[in-house]
Amino acid sequence: MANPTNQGGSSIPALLCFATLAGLAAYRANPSLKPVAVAAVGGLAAAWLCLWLFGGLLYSFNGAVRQKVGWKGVRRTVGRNFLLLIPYTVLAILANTLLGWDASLTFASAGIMTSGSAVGAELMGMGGGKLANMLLPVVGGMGFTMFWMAAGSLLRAVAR
Amino acid sequence: MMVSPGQLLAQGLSRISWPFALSVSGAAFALFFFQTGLDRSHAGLVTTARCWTLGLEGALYGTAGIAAIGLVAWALSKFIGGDQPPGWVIRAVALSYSSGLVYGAVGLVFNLFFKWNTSLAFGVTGVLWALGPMMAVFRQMSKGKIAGSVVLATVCGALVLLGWGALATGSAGR
Repeated sequence: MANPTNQGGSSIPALLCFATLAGLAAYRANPSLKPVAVAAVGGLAAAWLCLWLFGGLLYSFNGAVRQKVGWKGVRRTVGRNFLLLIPYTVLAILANTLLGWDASLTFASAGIMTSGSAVGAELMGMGGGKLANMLLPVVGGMGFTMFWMAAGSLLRAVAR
Repeated sequence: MMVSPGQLLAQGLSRISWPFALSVSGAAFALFFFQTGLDRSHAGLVTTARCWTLGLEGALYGTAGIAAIGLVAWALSKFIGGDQPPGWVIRAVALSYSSGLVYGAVGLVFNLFFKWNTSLAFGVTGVLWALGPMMAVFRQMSKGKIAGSVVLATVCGALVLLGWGALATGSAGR
């Protein structure tokens, strides 16, 4: 595998995915521009905060990785691995438009847990502790998912 | 499996035969399609006999369909530097649905004993979870490149989802 620290790690694609998923959730409740746009912007801000907290959690408990790549390196690892959210976002759009499902929150939660686990695996490969990088991404991902589901439900209630 | 699924799958693949790998995805999709039938039968839309035929269609989809999708993934993997033989890729794609099998089995219990509608909550969730190990395997095939693995997993995931939508619910392309 290529050196992870030399790879890209922007969070922007992941944030755009979250904005799309939030917009989709609102669209099912009220398919007009304003609530969808508000949800997309709100989702983007919430996702930025969650990714920051997720990165902070892993940074705090990964002494060896912290020494090696610092906060920026951990942030880039989080951003890079949350690219895994892209298939879930594309599938959520397909399910919404072609199958008529209202399931963007399900797709988002599966994507968050998968991406979170991938972050843990990469940090482990960079010298991080096994137990911390097995448990923390799951705990952080679950917190992230619960927050996203609660925020999504609230958003849809407001959009209606 | 949760933390480093690609590595585990890739290491174990040489010891796993393709009939076993395809039987995992076959069983996963048989349970998924069967539950789709059960959900529809709860609403009086299909008969019990149709649930069983849907289960059989799922088994066929999980074996022949997943093998075909594996071949598509193998062909596309050439663009991201993959050099594994087609059998290896098919086994990797099929075994990614191990999580779908677990979700399918648990969902069936809730469907039969509590009459829950489980095809979306458990079935689709299991299929979505399969994307994780699939992306990890594709990432290993492409020597660590995320972008290529994401594109491959998106194509495979879309084919699986739309195939299920068309076969089990008749709603793809609506």
